[in-house]
Amino acid sequence: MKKTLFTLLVLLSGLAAADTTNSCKLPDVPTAREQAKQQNKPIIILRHGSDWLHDDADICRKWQKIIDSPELAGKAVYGQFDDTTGQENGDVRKKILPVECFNMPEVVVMAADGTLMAVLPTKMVRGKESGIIKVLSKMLEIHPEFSQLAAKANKTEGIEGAKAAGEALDLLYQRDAVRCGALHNIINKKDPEDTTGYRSQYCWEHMGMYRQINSILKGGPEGQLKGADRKFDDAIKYVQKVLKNKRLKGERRQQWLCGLAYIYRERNGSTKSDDWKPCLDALKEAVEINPDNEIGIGAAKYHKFLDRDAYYVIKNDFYDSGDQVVGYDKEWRIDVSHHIKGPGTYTFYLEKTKTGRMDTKDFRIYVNGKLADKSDDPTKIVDRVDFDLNSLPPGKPKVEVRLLSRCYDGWYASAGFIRMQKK
Amino acid sequence: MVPGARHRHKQSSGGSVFVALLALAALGVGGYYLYDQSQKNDKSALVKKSKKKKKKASTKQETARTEQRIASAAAEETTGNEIIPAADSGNTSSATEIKSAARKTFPPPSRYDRAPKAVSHLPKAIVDKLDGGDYQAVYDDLVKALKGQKPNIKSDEYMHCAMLTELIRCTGAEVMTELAKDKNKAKFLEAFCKDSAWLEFYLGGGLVPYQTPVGVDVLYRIWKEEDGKVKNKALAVALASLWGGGETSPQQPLTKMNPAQFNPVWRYNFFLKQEREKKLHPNYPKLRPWELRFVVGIAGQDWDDKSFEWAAENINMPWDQYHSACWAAVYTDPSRFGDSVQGGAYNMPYSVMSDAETTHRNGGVCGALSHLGCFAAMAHGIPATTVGQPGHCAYGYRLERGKWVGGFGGPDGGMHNQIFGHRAPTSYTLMETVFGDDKGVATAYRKSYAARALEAAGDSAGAIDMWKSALEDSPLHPFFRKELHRLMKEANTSADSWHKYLMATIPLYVENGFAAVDMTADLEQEIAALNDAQKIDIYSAMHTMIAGSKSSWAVKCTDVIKNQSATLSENMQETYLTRVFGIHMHTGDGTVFGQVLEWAVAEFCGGEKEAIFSKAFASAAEKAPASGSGEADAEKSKRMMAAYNKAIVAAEQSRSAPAFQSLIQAAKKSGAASTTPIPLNTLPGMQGSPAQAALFRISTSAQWDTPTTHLDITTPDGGKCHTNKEEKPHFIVELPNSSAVTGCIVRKTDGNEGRMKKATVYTSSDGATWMPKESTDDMPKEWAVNFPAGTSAKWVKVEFENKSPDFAHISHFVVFTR
Repeated sequence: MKKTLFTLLVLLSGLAAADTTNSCKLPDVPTAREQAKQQNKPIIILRHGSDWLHDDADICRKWQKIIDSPELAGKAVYGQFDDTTGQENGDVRKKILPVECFNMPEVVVMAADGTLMAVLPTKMVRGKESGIIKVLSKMLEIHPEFSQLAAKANKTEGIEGAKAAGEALDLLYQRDAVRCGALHNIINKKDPEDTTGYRSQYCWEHMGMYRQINSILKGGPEGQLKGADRKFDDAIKYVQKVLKNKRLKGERRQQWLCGLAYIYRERNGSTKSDDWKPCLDALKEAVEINPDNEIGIGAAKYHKFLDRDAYYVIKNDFYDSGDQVVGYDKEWRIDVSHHIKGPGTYTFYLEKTKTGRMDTKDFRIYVNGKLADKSDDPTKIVDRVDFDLNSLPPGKPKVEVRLLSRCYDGWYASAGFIRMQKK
Repeated sequence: MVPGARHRHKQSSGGSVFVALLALAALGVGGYYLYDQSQKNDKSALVKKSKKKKKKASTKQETARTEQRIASAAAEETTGNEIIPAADSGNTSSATEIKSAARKTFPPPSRYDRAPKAVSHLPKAIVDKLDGGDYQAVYDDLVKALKGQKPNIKSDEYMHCAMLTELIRCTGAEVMTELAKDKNKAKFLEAFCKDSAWLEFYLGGGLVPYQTPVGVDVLYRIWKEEDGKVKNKALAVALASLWGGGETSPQQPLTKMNPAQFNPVWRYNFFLKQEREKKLHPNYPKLRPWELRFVVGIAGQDWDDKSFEWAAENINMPWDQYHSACWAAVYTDPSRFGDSVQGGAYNMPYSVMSDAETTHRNGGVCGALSHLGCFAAMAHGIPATTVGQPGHCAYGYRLERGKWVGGFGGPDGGMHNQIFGHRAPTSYTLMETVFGDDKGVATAYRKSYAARALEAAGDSAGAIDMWKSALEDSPLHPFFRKELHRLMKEANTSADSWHKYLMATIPLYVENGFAAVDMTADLEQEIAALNDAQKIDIYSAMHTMIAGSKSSWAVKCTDVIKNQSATLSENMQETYLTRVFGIHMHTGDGTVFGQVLEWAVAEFCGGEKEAIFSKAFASAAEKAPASGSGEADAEKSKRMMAAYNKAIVAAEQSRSAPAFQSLIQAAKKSGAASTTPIPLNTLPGMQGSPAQAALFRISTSAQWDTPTTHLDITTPDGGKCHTNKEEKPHFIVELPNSSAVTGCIVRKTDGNEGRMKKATVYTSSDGATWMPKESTDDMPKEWAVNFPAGTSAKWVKVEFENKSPDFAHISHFVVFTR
């Protein structure tokens, strides 16, 4: 009996193991591409890993359900790239799809000729089925026009070719349009002067943009201008011209605004100018376009960093100056309420654990928003001060130490613990 | 209790059907990945053991304490019930024996119980003492109690007492007493001290926090978080060790970070969760505390807690692809806001996010990208670390024991996380060798606690014997070796005994040659007291081990040779050099040989000691074995040639004609391919005959250079040399003596002949003052220059002048003499 049970279990487990090694029953990428070419349909590839992805079987089941849905069934060629472990697979990995992937599962959508149309990131693939179907339906809908424009872009010389490529990109989601290298190549080649505006819109990610800006600042590709001699006005004019392009939207517009802010910052730094308004305005506009995307978040932080009126709130009794203050005074506000144990004299100090150069001065202590005590000489550089808090309001008052801090080392910042001890 | 062994017992104690069901269930639902051979072995072993055990169970009583049986196993296999320390070996290993030594292989790691039940074997008197919270008193009582006992690592009581003694010694009695003043911490300390298995994890996990509360405080925080029921004691130990450092690594960088962002308890919970959700590598449950250290953080250059979370969610690749995980972020400078990576504001715009997310959004250069790759691996339960390289940061990760794989140019360099030193590959190779033997190292650790107890009780001789015994189980453990040396020094060990000891010990360092050198770092005076012949014996043994070890650019032999040579008298230098040349010329991949040659040329050539070099090199080269024909031989030959090439250029730079000649001859004998002779068209028109050159010098050497043919360049057959990009690249022919020179022929190599247009030929009698003989603005492919009659010179130079730096490459530079 036991033997029979054992054999049965072995067989069952074998079946289960076999099922998990290839849980998606879809053609591989080369086969799917061939079929798509013949049928003139878009190709939709699920990229996953059957031998390492913990929920691969679930993903495959879900994916099958999605592609069998009435909205999608039969309207595209569906394939899979089973990204398993093994060097052999690693060698073909980069060649087989137009984009690299570091997070799986993901879905890659290509036109019938293999041009990239969309990438559905992991979060989306793991998300609601309806969301996936909606995005893929849009891709199916635009595929004929996209293919037509892409073909025209390939065939047509000059600006018209670049324009067709740009119009094809217009059909895509912004996040995908900036990844479509094949059409970028056409625009870069056929419209090097960016008369269509598509080059700055889709093809130049930030490194290309800064190369262009710095080239103008230096006085041309071979230019050697440095410091205050650089051509700031020319660079500003150039970026402002790019920004006039109404087609420049979303993240790419934010990027160019950050480029403009960069020129103002460089100008102020070199000429010792204290006119920060144009720089702050550019950053503010970048934030307003989208405060939640990566450039929006960064621009907001940068705005706070450059805005002399803004201050930093130090939390959790730990400070790290490196990314907060570089080269000028900045106010810190540190809540020390939890250290207060009745009236008395308190020693406040910074216990450094990272010893990058940082100057602190002008220590003040506020109780419920009112100045209660301050350091004798606000200009003297110190990192320790005694505060007299002899009279405190009843209850649990909000006690805050404010100070001015200036850090000189970026990477080798100053960091450490906030200490507040009653004498 | 030996970790792992207890687990095996537990698995096999059930009925076979139950075990089979468990195994099959694991297979069936995919919760048990069929990833590597070791796991397959585990599974088959599991089934086999279950059958075997059933038979045994019917004849043996199984009620004995499991821990005691398992603990005894290691000792039984070697010496029976008593621990008999190893006798001082008097055998001096011959070179042949050393060469034939092979590294032991150990069974693959298996899953083990990471949360063994807390069991106390402490005597009641000690337990009572723990209540008082005076750990100096506990320590004193433990020493007293142990003093009266014969060391026995099979005895649970003895071992528990010895381990507790060691815990107090490491942490510090004062530190523990201070901690115990807090009621909750006192409760934890008592629980921890009474948990023999957890103590064993803690003390055997690699680096044990030394004279600091940090390690036990981390354990306390985890214990508190789990209400006293710690689910993964091994993981807790790894975090405590990472935070607390160790006796040899007292730095505790993580304690200086923002506690809100670098929190061991957060990380503990994170890995519990990830494992629960099956998001970790299948080998993760097998990782011992020393390996987990490389999963839970990077001691020297860590990223914040949230980076683990971000990397786990946003980088998911096939296991063997984490060497490219660093490219999940863009390699960029400047940032999206135009800031240079060198400036402080580079990461500022994204500092609200985790370090990993900041890097992903903002990009970075080698440091940030290598950390990202590393954290991606670690977040999936894969050991990894970043490494520092000159001007670069890279990383390494490992899916299986001993197999570190590089990312972004790693894994060699200065490890930012380490147990036995920072220098990779020496450090990780040694670590893998020591800890790869689960059983051996566990036994050795037990003996080490006994050795400490013996010493504390004043029995130094007994302690020495016990350390020796521990080192029989784990011969390369550097901490144990250091303790033995300390006691041997205190015991005034004689020079002859040191010699015997080292000659018996060094050959154990198979594949760990540089670790053998490190092992003797604390024996400088003892080695200095040996006679030259003994020193050379020892050094030869070390070089034999080095030659058989993995070579790396990151580990240099130059300092080793320099230091060794400095201890020898002048008349032994040739013997030493001959031995060292002999070992490295015929063994290894040529990397170390190149380093040896470079050092030797710089040290001996061009001065009074030149004859030493020539004789030693010739003597060693004569013993060169004939080249083989297999692929491995071809690769070896290629590397050997690379070593020769390097050494030849070094000889040229040191202007050592004998070294140059010796090396060229040796290289040819080793099978250096000669170039096909290239006829010179202008040869018939030259006056005089081609001179035999003593030395040829190139201004710089590039990768396309062929130094082994540099002497051929001075002959009508020709060779090939290639400089780097320079404004004034040049070549110099040095003749044996000042001679009547009649002219020269300079010929460009085939291809890229548009280079080397403006050229001048000079002669010199002192090698410093150069007299121009002829110039051209458009040098032909083959340029024949006739010198004015009566020209006498020892050196002839051709120099090219470039507007901007460019290469120079010639096939011939033949000087004619009358």
